[in-house]
Amino acid sequence: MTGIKSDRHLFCAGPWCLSPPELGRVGARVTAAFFCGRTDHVAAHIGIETIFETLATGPIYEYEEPVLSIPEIIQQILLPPHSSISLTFFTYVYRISLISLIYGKMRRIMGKVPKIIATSGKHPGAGKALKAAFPLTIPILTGYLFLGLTYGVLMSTSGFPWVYPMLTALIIYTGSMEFLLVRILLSSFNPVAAFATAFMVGARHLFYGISMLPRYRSVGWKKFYLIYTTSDETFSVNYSARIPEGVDKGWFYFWVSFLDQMYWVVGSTLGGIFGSLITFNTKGLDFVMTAMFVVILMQQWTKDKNHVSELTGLIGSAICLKIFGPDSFIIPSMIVIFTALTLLRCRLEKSLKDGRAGMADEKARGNGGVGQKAALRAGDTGQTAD
Amino acid sequence: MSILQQFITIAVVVAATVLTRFLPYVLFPEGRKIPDFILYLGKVLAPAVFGMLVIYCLKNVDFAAGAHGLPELLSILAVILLYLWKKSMVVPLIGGTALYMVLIRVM
Repeated sequence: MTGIKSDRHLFCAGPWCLSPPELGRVGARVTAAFFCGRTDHVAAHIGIETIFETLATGPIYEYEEPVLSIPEIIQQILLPPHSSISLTFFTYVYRISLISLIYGKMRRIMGKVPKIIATSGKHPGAGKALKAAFPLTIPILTGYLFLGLTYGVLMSTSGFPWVYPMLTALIIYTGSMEFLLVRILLSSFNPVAAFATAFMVGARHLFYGISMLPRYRSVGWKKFYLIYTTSDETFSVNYSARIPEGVDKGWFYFWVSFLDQMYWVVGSTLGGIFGSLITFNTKGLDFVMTAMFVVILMQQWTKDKNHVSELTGLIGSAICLKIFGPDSFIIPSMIVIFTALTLLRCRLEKSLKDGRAGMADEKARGNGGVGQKAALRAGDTGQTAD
Repeated sequence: MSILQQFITIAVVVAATVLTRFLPYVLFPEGRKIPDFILYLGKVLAPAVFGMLVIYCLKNVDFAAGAHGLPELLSILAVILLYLWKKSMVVPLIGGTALYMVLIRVM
């Protein structure tokens, strides 16, 4: 992947690039024709050519023709270098159109797949489930593609061949752990620490498992794959999804999980292959994941009459984040949430059972605090949960 | 690290991740009835976990320095408002992310 990278300036419009001397010559010819009217006045020619060349190149330097490797040629075609504001704008429009084209093509292809599966006859109901499941995975498509790209690029720039991100995407499939894995693989060999870190980072999957226990029943052989590919986003979508009539539950969950993993694998692999060639400034695009979680939280919020659970999660985690710092607040948060919800069980279970309006409860508890505090506050205001 | 050491490290991480994913299903297999407490937990844990995940996404935001976390907070507010207005997933997502990408370049 080597090529002589000289400090050259290339003037490019789309895939066509001119080196400074060439630009100088072209410019000179055009100007000479314009001012002199004739292009055979040698002196004017030479003079104007020299002026243009100097303006174009700055101080005269040796321009060496670089030897481009194939990835660099592809890069030059897809992501041309630029050197002026208008050309920068043009290249960004160019890149965005290219990516939208690819994205649109992908979605069209995805749309055709249900028909193929439905008419294959081997797995009835799978096509219908795919059609129902795919729209729910579109936000994850964007998020995972870009997050996966980031991960692949990180792996690639840390010196790992593209097989690494592809394999880890297939067998580990936990975004945060994979990012940590890069750091772990670059440090000294310590499998015990790696195991402990992986367990702590993945501990939230315990909660996901508990929540999906009733839903993942009676889905047959797919269950193993469903559990294996539980991720934050897959869990969120599967948990809050309202499966439409006549759609097979098992296939629905399967398609959500499968598509999500494919997006992640594709993103990571592409990132690993193209590595540092990707110069698209996508800073901030991973906010789409935060936005998705907020939307899912809102969906749950508007569904629930009683917001104690959400608030416990939010406030408990925020407090633990403050106390324990960003790297190790998940486990304490989980303990706090678990304890709070266990202590509040009696009050919550009642309101869950008969679905009473939880607003009064919420007011009585203040901000849905932790255990005893909530009970005290309820006593203070004189209102009870009943 | 040598290739073998890398292989062992990855295998260990896979083992830990698989353990966290499968443990609940191993403890409460399909044939037997799930205890009421676990069913209750399943209903109430999820919303709390969503809240925790939102905080998790914001864990590296520095509220004391720099932009004081305003881009994140404003974008989340935009997401909430857009959701309440449109009730879909796509519109708040795109709107919130676009706003965030603009804000972090501007603030």
